[in-house]
Amino acid sequence: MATQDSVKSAFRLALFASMFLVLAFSHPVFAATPFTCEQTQFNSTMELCGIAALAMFALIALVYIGGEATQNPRMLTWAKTEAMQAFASLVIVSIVLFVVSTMCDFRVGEISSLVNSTSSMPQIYKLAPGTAANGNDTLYNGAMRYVENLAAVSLSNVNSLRYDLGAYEIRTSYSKFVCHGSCVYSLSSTSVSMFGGESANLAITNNLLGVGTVTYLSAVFQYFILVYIYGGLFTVFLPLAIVIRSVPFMRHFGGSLIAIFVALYILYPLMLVADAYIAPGFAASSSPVKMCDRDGRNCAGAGIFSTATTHGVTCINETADSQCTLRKEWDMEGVGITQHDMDKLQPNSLPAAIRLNVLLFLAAVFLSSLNFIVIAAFGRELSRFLGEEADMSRLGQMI
Amino acid sequence: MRNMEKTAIPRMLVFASFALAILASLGNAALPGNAPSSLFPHYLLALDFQYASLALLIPFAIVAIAYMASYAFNVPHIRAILQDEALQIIATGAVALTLAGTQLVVDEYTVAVLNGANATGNNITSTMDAASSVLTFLETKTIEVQDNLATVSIALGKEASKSVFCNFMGVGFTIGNCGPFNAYRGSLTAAMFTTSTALADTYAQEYLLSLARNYAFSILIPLGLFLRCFKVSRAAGGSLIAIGFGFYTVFPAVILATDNLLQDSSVALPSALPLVGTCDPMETNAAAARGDFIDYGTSLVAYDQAESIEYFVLVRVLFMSILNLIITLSFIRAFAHMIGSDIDVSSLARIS
Repeated sequence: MATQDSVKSAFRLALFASMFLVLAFSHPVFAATPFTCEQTQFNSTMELCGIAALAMFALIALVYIGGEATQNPRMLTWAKTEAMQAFASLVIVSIVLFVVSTMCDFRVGEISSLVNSTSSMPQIYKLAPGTAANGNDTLYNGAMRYVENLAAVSLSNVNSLRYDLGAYEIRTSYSKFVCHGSCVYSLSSTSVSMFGGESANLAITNNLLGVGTVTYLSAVFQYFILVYIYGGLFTVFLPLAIVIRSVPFMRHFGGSLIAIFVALYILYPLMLVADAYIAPGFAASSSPVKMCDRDGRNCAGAGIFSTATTHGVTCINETADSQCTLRKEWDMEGVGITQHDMDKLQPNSLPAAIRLNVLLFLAAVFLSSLNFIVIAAFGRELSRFLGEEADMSRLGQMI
Repeated sequence: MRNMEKTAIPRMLVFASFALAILASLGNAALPGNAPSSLFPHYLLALDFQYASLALLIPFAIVAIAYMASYAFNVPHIRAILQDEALQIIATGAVALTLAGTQLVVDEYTVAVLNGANATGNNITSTMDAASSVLTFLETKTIEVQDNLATVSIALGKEASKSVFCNFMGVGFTIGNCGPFNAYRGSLTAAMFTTSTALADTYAQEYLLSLARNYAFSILIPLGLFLRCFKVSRAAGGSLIAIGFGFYTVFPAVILATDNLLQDSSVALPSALPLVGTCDPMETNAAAARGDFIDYGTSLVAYDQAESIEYFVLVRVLFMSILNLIITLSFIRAFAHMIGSDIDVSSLARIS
């Protein structure tokens, strides 16, 4: 009895050790390579899946031969059942690879013709650099481009708010002495802080900066999640899931891993591209919101709210504009000490800053929450279908 | 038993084809350039039936092919599953028709009621338009309140900062007669803070409405219908349908309903707070300075004025916006559950 237990535990140990080795060996080879729908990555993944399938079929064949030789009906039944399951794994792999390659082949610009017309294509896709212009990105690159632009515009917003805070700080602390004539002799004068009352604006801008930071963090969180998904999920996670699914005692767990893979690797980029298409819809029915270019990056990323016909954000970067007279952060260094210099520090108007924050918050937090609601629902259903139910709602709570 | 199965399947297929044909024909009626159907005026026909019917036809074709394959490869045990799937596609088609019908009824009813009640402007064409105009009004008024609070706060800060410095025979004195006015600034900042939150909520509602107007029935719901037709993506599809329908139909209706609940209220619209007068820092009469301070405080908290601002900002804008979102999210959750998707909207509720 003790011998049987030790054999079982040795087998479990070997199983976990082999899983660990699969992870350890695959990591340095693939994780550093960014995902670009390259043929080599497909080949590597298919190779791993093929090896896993062959190993499984070899094992089944051995068991079957052993069963025939010893006339053991349990071994024969086991081999038949596992052969069916290995075949099911192969079918799943084929479907997954087919969908992934389709997503690599599909161009984001093609969605605009499906949705409505070419005018509905987001500017970030239409004006993308190089060969990606005019919606020529793959779905994976399109998802990454959207998240990058979202993070960029969120950071520009944080910079803009930081400028506003600095401007309010300088203006509220500014006071001047009003000389009434006698001050020349007695140094008597009246002191007044011309912008002292803007401390209320300062408090509100401070709060907006908090919201803006949450927005930026959410966008960056999505960016790194996507980097992680593209970096290792396809080349490591899928083969591992297939291998585990082929192991008789861990089939349900392997099925759950496949469901997580499909939800994150296939549905999540799709949802992000859908976000890119619907984000301009936020501001389509209202006038554009003004964004001051304070960091000299020309409101990079604001194109996520624009199509050929709608412009959600107008970038104010002209020196002549009254809202952005002194438009860059570094211009604060030599601002001067007169009231005119203080006037030149004019921050963005509060309603415009609030509106821009709300727009970005909805794009970065609200839409991503919706994404994870859908992904969690899909992942739960698929994992139930393939094996054990996996609760993915925690991902949404991270947002 | 086998005969019953054989006769039930063609009946089901005929019924499904019939339902899809209706959808497809409605899609043709809704195509740009075609004359609007007399049954469904084009401005009320929110659902893009072309995409909706396509979203249903593709899964139906897949199920039909799989059904044929079950005969070709002699796999009878998957036929029951495929029949269930076909039934689900029909149910999804029924959901699509129900959504369009409900939207139509809600729009017609709202337009009739609002145009009947509003003697001055009979130009409301949909619930969405009416809700948008309500939000635009709230936004304009909230900005007015906030601008007024900012102006008052800035003027008050300037006057309160005034002080006198005097140097006599090497000894310096500073007197801040106007300093007591600083006492009002904290409350004004809190009021402005609350107003900015109310403004943010109003903007958020406007953006959500704009999103729903532009993409709920053209992307979210057709995509949801498509996903709902497959077993593994049924929950995801149901959640998309619920979210799209909730924000397109229920959200504007709730905005109108909650705002109209307050129409009979006798509280006036918010009026502007008075600006502080000029404070003389050289005033040596302490009683006069104290009198100015008390007078201004009294004018700031005059009952009618404070009531109108508080009522508008706190109740009509802030509280109602939260209520609108809570009701909509509750509906989305319940509706998603009804069409086979159990979603967790707690993260969205937290945002609201």
